[in-house]
Amino acid sequence: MNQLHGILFADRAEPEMCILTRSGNTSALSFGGNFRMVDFMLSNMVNAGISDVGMIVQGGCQELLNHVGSGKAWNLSRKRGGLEVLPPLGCRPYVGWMDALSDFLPYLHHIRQEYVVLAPGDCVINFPIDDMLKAHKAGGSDITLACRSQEGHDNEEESLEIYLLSTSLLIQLTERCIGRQPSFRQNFLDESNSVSIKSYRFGGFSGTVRTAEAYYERSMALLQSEARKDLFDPDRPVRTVDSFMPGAYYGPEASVERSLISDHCWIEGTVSDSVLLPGVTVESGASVSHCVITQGTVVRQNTHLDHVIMIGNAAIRQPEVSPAKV
Amino acid sequence: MKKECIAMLLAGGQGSRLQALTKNIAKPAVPFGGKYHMIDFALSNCVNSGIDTVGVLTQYQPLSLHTYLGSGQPWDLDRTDGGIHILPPFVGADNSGCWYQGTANAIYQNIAFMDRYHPDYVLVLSGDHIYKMDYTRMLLQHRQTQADCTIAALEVPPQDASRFGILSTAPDHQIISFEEKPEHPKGNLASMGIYLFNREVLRQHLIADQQDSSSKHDFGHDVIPRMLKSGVKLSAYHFNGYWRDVGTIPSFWDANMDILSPRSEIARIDSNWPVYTRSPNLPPHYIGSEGRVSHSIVTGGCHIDGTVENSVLFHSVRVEPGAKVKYSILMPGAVVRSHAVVSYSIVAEGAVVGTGAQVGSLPDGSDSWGITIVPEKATVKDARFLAANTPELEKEGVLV
Repeated sequence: MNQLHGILFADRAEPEMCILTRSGNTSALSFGGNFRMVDFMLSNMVNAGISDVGMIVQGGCQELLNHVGSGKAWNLSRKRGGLEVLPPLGCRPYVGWMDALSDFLPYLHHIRQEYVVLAPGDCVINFPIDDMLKAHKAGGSDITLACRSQEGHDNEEESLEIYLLSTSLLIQLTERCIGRQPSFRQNFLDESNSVSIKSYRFGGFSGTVRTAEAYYERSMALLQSEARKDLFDPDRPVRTVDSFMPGAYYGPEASVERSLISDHCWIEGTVSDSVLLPGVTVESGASVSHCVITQGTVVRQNTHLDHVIMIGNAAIRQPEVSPAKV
Repeated sequence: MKKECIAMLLAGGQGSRLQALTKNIAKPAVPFGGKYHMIDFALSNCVNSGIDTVGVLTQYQPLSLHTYLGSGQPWDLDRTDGGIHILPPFVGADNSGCWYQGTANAIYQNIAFMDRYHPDYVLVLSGDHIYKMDYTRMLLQHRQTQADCTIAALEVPPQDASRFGILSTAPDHQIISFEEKPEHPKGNLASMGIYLFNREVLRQHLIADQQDSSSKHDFGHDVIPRMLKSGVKLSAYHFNGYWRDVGTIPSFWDANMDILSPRSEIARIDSNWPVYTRSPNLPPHYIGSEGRVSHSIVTGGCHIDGTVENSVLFHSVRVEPGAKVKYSILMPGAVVRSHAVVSYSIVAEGAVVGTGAQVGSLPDGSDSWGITIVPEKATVKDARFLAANTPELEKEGVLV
């Protein structure tokens, strides 16, 4: 049996993101083509050999649940174990991860595996959790925390919010925190005299998407081939629910360059330096430049879009910046 | 468990006229239209028509097809009652059972499967036709005319009529005559090879056909003519939509090019009649600075830095800078290296066209011109010139 259990926090909702996904649930965001944010971390868990995943959600998560279903697309629809959705016991939003976990102590007690990985559902990343487990076992610390390594900034590490620890420690910490509703990060990681923490550095493509700006910036970053090679590694595939869309159609006058075009797009106009999600139409005479166009949007004749995220009829203006770093 | 109507989908043929494309896979498993496999159309028509029990009869090189179909989940045919059933040939006690000897023999050997569901009606389909059809309308006419057998038919260009079973009908749709591939066709109403039978009538005639040692055990050649002769009530269901039997390289290439038409029924999703398929999860395709794509279909995971015109590109195709692809079909994983030119060709799965190579030629009106095929996983050497009648083309995986 695999040694690792996964707990995915897919409960976060941001009001700013309500324009992109009805509930504002950041894990349900469509990103990078036919994918949703939650697909990346679910796939990471499955690629690491994890077969049991608990997914923490909040109210209003219908879109996410409709997408994830029984977890079959990730081979998590199992007779024993597999994906278990952990719906909220109450109505108020969770204050932090510990707050969420304390609702599910019985679930934690039933975890069969020796180690648990806690990860956010709104991080776009192709991350080797199995390698992190190896490092954790060798490292000897109580908790291993994955961090984004910054070039030239050896001492600065940005947390990826992926934590690996033993199941027994997680249960202890959760029991200690009941009633105090702490944040995993603030309340006891900062009390680091009680637990030892080591970091696991990751230098590949990554991004936590909780604002429109981050959504735009990370989408644009995919236009770099290194980013795509990293994120869509065929040896560690990103799985999602099957769709039955036909390929993208290019009309006789279509002009597209330096862009990512998803299936079922219909291009008769001009597209450059942009990311088009599935089912986008760009009519003849329309032009799109430095944009992210979300699924099903129709860009009508003689419309000219520049530096926006386009969602149906709504546009979110984006600042013009230098090419995104991977 | 009783079903009103079940479908028997014939998917066992080699499709030898598709040459290198069916060397290692059965014809219904051949990729089509950038995203699909041929069998997707019949399967999707079944489930959209409310037929949830489909027997798929396989025989020739079935591995890819069996793997592709799996439990039938992409077509909503993963069911606890009914669903998809893969029916390969089998042996039984007393040396019974054998390789399928013809379309009728294949169905004959699976009478036991049909009996499981006690259907009133059995729909016999082919797995290599490209079309969208609501079979419930055919069933409605079948009931209204009180026919024993209804054959779907459509009008074909008169010059093509000799390739089909040609029907003539009375005003009430009753079939008066049926001639399989006539040299001098009486008309141009062609059988589509889609038959709806009352189960008992089908059973009786399959048994009778099996006992006739002179029979080729083919529906069009033997069973239907015998039914007509013996007074079985046969009715024709006129179909008006797009339909192609893509049995030859030219018709396969034509049908793929057809989906480039903005009016193509196949190109756009019709939410009322989706065509389901199983496809890999891939990122969107990327068009580079020098990429030029026009009047084409491109699917996930492709990376285009060259020119693509009037072509159909399957997933994960690479077109390098300076390369030109025109009027061609590039199957999954095909690679066209820098400054190569591919025209009027089919580059099969995983094949590579080397730097500066030239594959295919423009139509010149001569009899010897044809669509050039680069076989699966073959590599065309740098700067090589290849046209349809080059003999080495038949070798797979070999540097040509």
